[in-house]
Order: sequence, then structure tokens, then C-alpha cells
Amino acid sequence: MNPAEPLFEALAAHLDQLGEAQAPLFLAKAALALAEALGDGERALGIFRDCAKDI
Amino acid sequence: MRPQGRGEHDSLYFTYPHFDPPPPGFDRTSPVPVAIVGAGPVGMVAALELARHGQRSVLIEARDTFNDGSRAICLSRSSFQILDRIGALPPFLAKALPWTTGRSFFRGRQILEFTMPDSADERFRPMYNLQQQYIEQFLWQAIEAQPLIETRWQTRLTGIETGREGAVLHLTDPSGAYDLPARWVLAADGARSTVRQALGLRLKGENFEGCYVIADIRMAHDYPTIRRALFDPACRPGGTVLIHRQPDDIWRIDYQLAEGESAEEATREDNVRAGVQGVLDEIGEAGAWELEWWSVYSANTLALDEYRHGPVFFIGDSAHIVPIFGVRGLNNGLADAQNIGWKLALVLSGQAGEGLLDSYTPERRGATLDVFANASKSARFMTPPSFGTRLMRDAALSLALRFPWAGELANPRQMVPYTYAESPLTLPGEPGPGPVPGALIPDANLGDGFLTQKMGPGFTLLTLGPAPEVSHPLLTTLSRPALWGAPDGSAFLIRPDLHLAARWTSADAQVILSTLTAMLERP
Repeated sequence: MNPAEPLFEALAAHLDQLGEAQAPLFLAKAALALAEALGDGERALGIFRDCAKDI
Repeated sequence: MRPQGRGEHDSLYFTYPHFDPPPPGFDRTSPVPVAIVGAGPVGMVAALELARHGQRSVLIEARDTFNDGSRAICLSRSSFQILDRIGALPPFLAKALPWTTGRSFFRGRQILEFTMPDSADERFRPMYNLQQQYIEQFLWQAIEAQPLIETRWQTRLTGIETGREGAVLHLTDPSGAYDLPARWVLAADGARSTVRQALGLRLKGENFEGCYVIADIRMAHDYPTIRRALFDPACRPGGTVLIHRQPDDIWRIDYQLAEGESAEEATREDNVRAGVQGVLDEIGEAGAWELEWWSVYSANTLALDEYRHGPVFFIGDSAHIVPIFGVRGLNNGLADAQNIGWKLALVLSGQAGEGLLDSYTPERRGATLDVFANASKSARFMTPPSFGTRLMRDAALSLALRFPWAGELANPRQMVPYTYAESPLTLPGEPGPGPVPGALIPDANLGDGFLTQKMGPGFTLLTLGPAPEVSHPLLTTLSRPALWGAPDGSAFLIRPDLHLAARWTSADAQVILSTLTAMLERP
């Protein structure tokens, strides 16, 4: 199984539970908390830059 | 459906045969050991499996020809093993297009190329594309050569009564109505099963959102046999498109309908033509094409709670309906047919007790639930059923343009044969190299042929090293010096459907014989 799969499923479940209106705040909180947990600010900023593309 | 001016079976490339009903005066009412309702691929494979073990059956079919249209087009490696076992393989190998690779695209850019497992130890490729009418034609050729199978075309089931000693089928054909007593009945009559309805049984499960038009076109092209999936293409914003190559320059195009787009509107010929042209424009195809056939479907995961109802066994779509993503519908049905076929044959010949049949539902419904778990995930990715799943799907696709790990989320879960680990017929064994008990055995290139070609017609005892003295009328013994990295002296008891029933690290004749006997003599 792709290790990203349970994360995909868990995030989808949270989004469904919170609903569309609360989704941006939830995702912003999750991104910030995960970036902090990564313990590598430069890497986190690089990932943010990548995620801002192809939208 | 076909273009205006062409009949239901007026194909650009396939000539549908016409089959007559039984002639007047034909003995239609003598009891039969097995009646198989439905002469589609699943019913025909069941009949051929029974015949392979020397058992007679009667195929009952309401139509006067094969199923209309290409329908199921992907046959898995394990299905080719089944076709080989029933003696129908050569035309399939000659006609079907093998493939191993799939490509996924997001907004026109490739995000994934996956390759299914394959090696020189495999006799067959992981997947083959072949239109269903060819599948039926090639199976029919095998049936015509088989005197143990009688087929009654243009014969419709109108009712069925079941009891402890068998069933009575109420049938009608152009000569009139009659009753046919049968000891056992196999319901292979598809998703709208008349047998299931007559017995008041219902499929249970869920329907997924998202409806697809499937269209076959004829177009000369040399793009290899690679399955293409287009996510969010310009021609279908937010939707998904699948493209498969088939023999005879036929291409299958599946495209998802937009939210609010009705199936009725979408299946109008002018709309289908526009939909197909949009897909071809998307992939840069400017050549001429002809519309062959089209239909519409939605993804469902539905199954009966119990695949047996007294003397009736449900096989194929009459027992379960699965999403097409992962190509498990027909392949799963063929495995059902083989599974009940060999078991019923041994019971009919008196070589096994009726208790053997109790393993059918746990094995094959277990396989269906496994398919549901995998196909449901694929279906959820292809047609997200909720806001959260859709947002995550879109995020994964967008990320996949830069991160290969995200592209893997778009990898369809292809058909993997189910392991009957929990089956009452499976003897749990010590873990070790080689297949686990219940699994379909992996093939191996032995230099002088493939392992699966050396299996006996019934059970096979494969030993690594000297074979013990085991004698049983259903058992073929085979000894090899080494295989699968298993320890020297290991023994493997392999069922007629090539699933592993039991394995031991040392071959003890008495233990092997008592295991086989216990499996067969289930009361």
C-alpha cells in the first residue's frame, strides 16, 4: 500500500466532517503544524513553494 | 447502442451468429444434473469446468446470439490460467492484446506510468484486452466441441422452485412452456438475474456517484496497448477519461459525465460523437474514426449475502456487481465459475461429500469483499463521492505533477487473485518461502515448460525432492528439485483451481492423504 494512502483517507474524512466552509482553516492549521513538526524550516518553505504551483 | 441505421448486432467488425432453439419434439423435460442459467462467459466457463471433470450440464440462454457489444474487455493472467485449464486457450492467445503498462495524465501532463508485475517465470502477461463477443465466441467454440454440454438457445426462465433434492426450472421456448428438473442450478444470468429475482433475493451494497459513457470506435492507430487515464482533461473538466486498445483497430473510450448531465442525453448519438471527438482532440488524434457501439454505466459495489440458495449457486454478476476500475467484474465471475465447477463435479461423481460445496460462499464472497475494498478505493479516486475526497483527489493529482509519490495515489488497483486464507478447505501452514495456503500458486518457468502446465486435472502434490508414496484417484504427484526458495523436502497440495490447499516442510504420506480425504469427505 502507498504510505500516503491512509493520510489521504484521513484528511478526506476530516474535510468531510468539517465541511467546505471550515476546510481552508483546517488545512492551514494542518500545514502549519506539520511544517513545524518537520523541524526543517527551509524544507517546509520549499514544499510550500512547490504546492503553490500547478493550481 | 449502435449508430442510427444499424441493428443491435450490426457490428463494424464482428459477425454475430444466430442460434436456433431446441427443435420441436426434442426431449426437454428429462432431469439434468446441472442446469446453468445464462450462456455468457461465466456460464460457459462453468459448463466447461464441469465437463473437464466429466460432468454433464445444460446451458439455458434466452437470447439467440452472443451479448451485444464489447462490454468486459480486460482478462487477467489468472483468467488465462482458467481458460487454459478448460481447454479454451489457443484462440484467446492468438487474438487478445497483452499489456503491462498504464499511464495517468492530469490536465494533459503525465503524472504516472505503472507497470504490472511480470517476469520470465510467468506464462501469461498480467492483462489482455479482448472484446466480450470474442470471449463468448472462443468459449462457444470449446463448448461446441464438448459433447457433455447441451445448450438451449432462445429458452427463457420464467420461474424456479427449489427443494432439498434439487430444483424445477419453468422454461419457455418457441415450442412452448415446460418444466426442467435439475439436481443443481448455477445462476449465471447476470446483473439483472431472473433466478435471483424469482427467488426473492436482493443484492446489497452501495452505488457510487458518477456515471460513464463507454464507447467503442474503429480507428487505425499504432499507439501501443497501454491503458490511459486522463484526469481533469480539457474535454471533460473535473472528469475522468479511460482509453483502452482492443483488437481489430477498436478503441474503448470511457468518459465521465459532468454533474447534472443526464445519462439519457449523454447517450444520444450526436452527444456520444461529440464526447468521443473531444477525447480524441485532447490526445491529439486527428485521423478518421467510426462509431461502433456505446453504453453507459455507474460504479456499484453490490453483492448477495449468501451465494448459495439450496440447490442454486450464484456465479458472476448475478452474485455481485463491482466497479470496473481494476477490471474485476468478468475476471471475478470466471473464478466463481471455476470454483463451483470443480467442486460440483466432484460431488456429482461421488468423489466428494456435499459439504465441499459449503466452501463456495466463503471463498468467492470473500473474493468479492476483497474486490470491494480495492475497487471502492479506485472508484472513490475516479469519481470522488464527497467534498473531502474530491479536494484530496485534486490535491494529489496536482502534487503528482512534481512529486512521484503523489502520482502513485492514481495507480489503479489491478486484479490480484484472492487468497482463500479463511476457507474451510485451507490448512494453515508454517510461514516460509513460496505461496501461502489459500493463494493461487505462482507460475514458474521450469525450462521444459511452465509449472502450471504440469498440474494434474484434479489435485496435485508438488514435492521438492523425492516424492512420498501417496496414492489417491484424484491426485497427481509432481517432484521438482527446487522451487520458490522453499526448503528441500517441502510438499504443496494444490487444488484443481491451482490454489494452494496446504503446505508442509516435510512430506509425510499419511498426513497428506488424510488432509486430502478430510477436504473431500466433508458431509
